[in-house]
This record gives sequence, structure tokens and C-alpha cells, in this order.
Amino acid sequence: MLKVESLSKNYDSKQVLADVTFQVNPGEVVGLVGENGAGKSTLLNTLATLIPLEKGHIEFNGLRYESDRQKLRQKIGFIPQDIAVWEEFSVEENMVFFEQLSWVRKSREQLRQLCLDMKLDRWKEKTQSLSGGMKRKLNIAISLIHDPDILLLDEPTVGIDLKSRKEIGSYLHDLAKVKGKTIIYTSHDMEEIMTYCDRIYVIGNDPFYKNLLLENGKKVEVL
Amino acid sequence: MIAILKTRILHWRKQGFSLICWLLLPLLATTIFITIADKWQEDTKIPVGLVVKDNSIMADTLTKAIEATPLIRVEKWSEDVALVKLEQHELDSVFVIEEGYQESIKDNSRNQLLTAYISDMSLAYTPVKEAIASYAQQDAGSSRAAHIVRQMIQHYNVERNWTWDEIVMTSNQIREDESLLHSSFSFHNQTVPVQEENSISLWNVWGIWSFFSLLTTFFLFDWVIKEKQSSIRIRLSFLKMSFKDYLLRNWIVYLILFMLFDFLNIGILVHYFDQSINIQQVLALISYRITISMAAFLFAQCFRVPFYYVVVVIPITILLSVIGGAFIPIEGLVRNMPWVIHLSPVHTFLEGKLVSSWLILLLVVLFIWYWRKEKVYA
Repeated sequence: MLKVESLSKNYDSKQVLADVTFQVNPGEVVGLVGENGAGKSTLLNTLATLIPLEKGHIEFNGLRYESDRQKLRQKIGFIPQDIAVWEEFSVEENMVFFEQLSWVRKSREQLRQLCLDMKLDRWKEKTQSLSGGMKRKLNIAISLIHDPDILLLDEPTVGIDLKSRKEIGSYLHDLAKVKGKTIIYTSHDMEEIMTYCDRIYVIGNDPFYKNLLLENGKKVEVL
Repeated sequence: MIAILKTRILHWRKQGFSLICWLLLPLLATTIFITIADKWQEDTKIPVGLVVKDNSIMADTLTKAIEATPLIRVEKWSEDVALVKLEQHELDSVFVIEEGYQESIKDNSRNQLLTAYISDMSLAYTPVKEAIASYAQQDAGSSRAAHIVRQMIQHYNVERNWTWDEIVMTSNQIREDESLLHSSFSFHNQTVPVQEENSISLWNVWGIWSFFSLLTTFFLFDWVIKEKQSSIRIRLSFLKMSFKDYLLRNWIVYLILFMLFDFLNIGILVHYFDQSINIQQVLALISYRITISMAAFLFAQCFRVPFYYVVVVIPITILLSVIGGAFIPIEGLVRNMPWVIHLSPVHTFLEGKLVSSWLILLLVVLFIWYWRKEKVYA
């Protein structure tokens, strides 16, 4: 379980996150929405241990963010908004590269199966020749190599076709429901958020997102 | 470390050809540079006309001595042809060994032994004249010594009567055996190279190699910038090692690769250029390799754009090589400003020393870099 208590973050004099408190249970898919600059990425980066914790308390499965950063990173799968893969490598080489540096060992067959589960079947193809959707799938597959307990995704489906978007959304939903992973992700695609998320948090003061979700009969919590 | 090696090999396989080219650049560039420079040096030797009018042994020995003089290309002609070539500026100067050269030497007459012709374009006349005159002086000295020995023989009524020819011949033999008028210069801790005087090279093979090696090292370390600035950077923060560990271990892998090629370079250069090398110099080379790899690794971290890095490292490499004495000796400069030797790791390497101020400084900087806490946890 992820517990966030009284989390605050300032950039110089500007307060980005103010006394944020929430918790996410295993097997839940949680969406973070809000206008640009509201603090979604800051919250996600803090949960990913990329930004030091200044004020507040975060705990995941008993591991404290203040003291157990290295252990926490073994539990976290972070999917950045930018596609973070070696473009000149093939899908196979990308998977092997990150497997070698990962905490867990996996065979090539296991790595290939991970890709196939995501409907990424261009194993030998160079990444730079893949479609945007395929690259996004590879971006996620790499983050899953070490079997993380929590997945943090920063706009994982931005700029890709509808089919790939639905495949990724469906896969993430299954990951939570079947394997009990905790999934938190940000997106501007409200349809996707409403379809796959169990709970939705709105960050920021703009009422647009909150009203839109309420109009569609969704339960919303404001952070 | 094995994992890092495997992942680095994945990168190297993508850059195979260019990587090999860069690694072989110091060897190939040094070989080509020295070969062309020596050829050019041969072509640009001072053309000197020699007219030999005396058929004596002494004149013949003098001719050979002149021909063996470094940086002089001797052309033997008749006096008429030589003077025409001098007028046409095909020859820098013309020297005539006059008839009766040996007899004049024997008679202890030092006048009119040689005649020299110059033109208004004779740029190297003075040093060439001095060199040739010194050979004649040598002969005259031997002759004078022979006369004195003969006077002493008569004065002391020695039974054995040495002839002038025997005394001069013995004197020349002793001079050759004892190398009384010949000195070879070599760097400290360096075995004297077996090299004929006339094939002397103006270029220091290891100096040229150190320049290209430094350049290659800087260029190949642009991976630090690429991997620090790429979108991959965040992903590399979620490895089983820290990002700094990842960089540091990759540096070690590169260091080992460079060393392997350095040893290959040593073997080929020593063989091809007939250079000598000892264990001290090999250790100095390893120290130089560690120093410049560390410098490139740390320096690359100061840049965000590989292009700017490349633009900056070219003049830095040239500067370090020049003040390190890679191209021209800096002994004169060091005499006046001894601190200059601390400005470049190249000088330490060429001197065959193991520890430089650069090595110590860079080790300290590397230590600080590694232990410094990042503002961001990545």
C-alpha cells in the first residue's frame, strides 16, 4: 500500500504541492489529472524518488521514502513521458541492455514474452523504425523487467494511435487486477482515465477537470 | 562489472567501424605523419654541390663525411656544371675539394684546401660551411699531430719509425673506435636508439602519438554527454547501481579498451620506427592513459552539447601537446620556467615519469565528483 501524508513541495517561492494526503491500495489504478503546471509530474517524480522529499511522509509497503530510497527503487517501475529507449538498438537489444542492469535476471524468452504480452512483436526490429505506439509499449516493457510492485506512468499514451492506446490501457488494467500491481498515472486523455482508473485525483485549482468528471458520473477527489 | 561490459559491448557493436577507426587513429596518424614528415625532411635537405678534384684517400674520406652529414643532400658534379646549377639556384652552395688536398694537409698547409661558391639565395651556406670546415680541420689536426709525433720520434731516437700515413691512419682508427668526436644524445632513461646519423628524424614518435592519443580519448568520451543528456538518463537512475556508478564503471571499461589498443600501438610503433622502450616507459604510458581518460571523463561532464565539447577539446589538445613538448622540445622553456612541466600530462609521459600533478589533481576531482551529493536523487 502507498501512503502519502502531508506532502508539500515548493519551487523557490512557488508552492506546487500543498499538504497532499492520499493512499493507494494494491491492485488499484489511480489517475492523476489537472492542468499543465498543476504539479502532476512533481508528485509522480516524488513518488518515483527522483525528487527528494522535503516535507511530509511517504511510505510504500512499509518502506519509508526518507530512508529506504534504494530498496524502494527496486519496487518502482517508472515510465517517463519521453520515450526513454536506445533508438539505435533493436527491441531485443533494448530489453537485454536494461535486463543486464536490472535487479532481477530474466532469460531472453521471458523478455520476449513480456513484449508479446504488450502486443509488441517486432523483437528484432530497430527501435527507430518502430511506430510511436510500439515505442510506447517498449518504453513500458523496459520498466516492467524487474517486476515492480508499483507502476508510475507519466502520460504513457501521449501522441499514439487509438488502437495502441487501448492495448496499453487494457494491459495496465490487467496488470493491476490480475497481478495486483499498484498503478498511478497521469494523462490528459479523460476518456482513457475514466475507462481504466478505479479512482481519480484532480490536482490544482482549475475546476474544469473536476466538473468534467462529475458530469460523467465519476467520483473525484481533489488533492 | 560484467553486466556493464555486456551493455557497453551492445553500444560498441552499433559503432563498430567508427570506434575501431578512432582507436587506431593514434597509431595510423602517427605512422603516416612521421613517414610523410621524414620523406619531406629527406626532400627538403639542403642541396649542396661537391666537386672533388683530388683523388687521395683523405679527399675520399672527406667526401664520405660530407655525404653523411645530416640534413645535407650532396650532389657530385664537375665544377662547371655545379656552378651552373648554383646560378640556377638548384644548389644552395658548391664546395670544391681542391687538387692536392691531402698533400696540403700533409705539408701542414691550411690555406686553399677547399673553395666555396655561394649565390644570393644561399640560405644555409654558413652552417654547411662550418660543418665541412670542421671535417677539414679534423684532417688538419690529425696531420699536425702526426708531424709532432714524428718530431718526437726523431728527438727521442725511437727505433720504430712511424710514417705520416701510419700515424694518421692509427689516429683515425682510434677516433672511430673511441667515438672521440661523436656524441649521441638521448632522453633520460631512454636507451640510445640504434640509428644512423644520416637518418635522424626531427620528430618524436611518442610525442606525435601522445597528441593523437589525447585527441582520440577526448573524442571517444563524448558518450558521457550523450548518456547524461538523453531521455535514458531517468531510466538509468533505476538500475541496480547508482547513475554515478554506471558512469564510473563504464569509464573503467573504456580505460581497459584504450589500454589494450595502447599496447598494440606500442608493439607496432616500436617495431616500425625501430624505437626502444623499457618497463619504465610502459608504466609511464599506463599512467598517461589513466590521466587523460580521467580528464576526458570529468571534462565531458561539464558539457550538455557534444558539439561544443568537440569544439573546445581540439584547441585544448593542441595546447597541452605543444606545452608538453609533443611537437618541439621545450627544454629551453623549462630552464626558464620550470613550472611549465606541470601544465601538461604529455610532458610527464615523454619524460617517462609515472606520477604527474595532473594525475593527483584529477584523482582528487574524481573522488569529489563521486562522493558529492546530488541535488536531485537521480
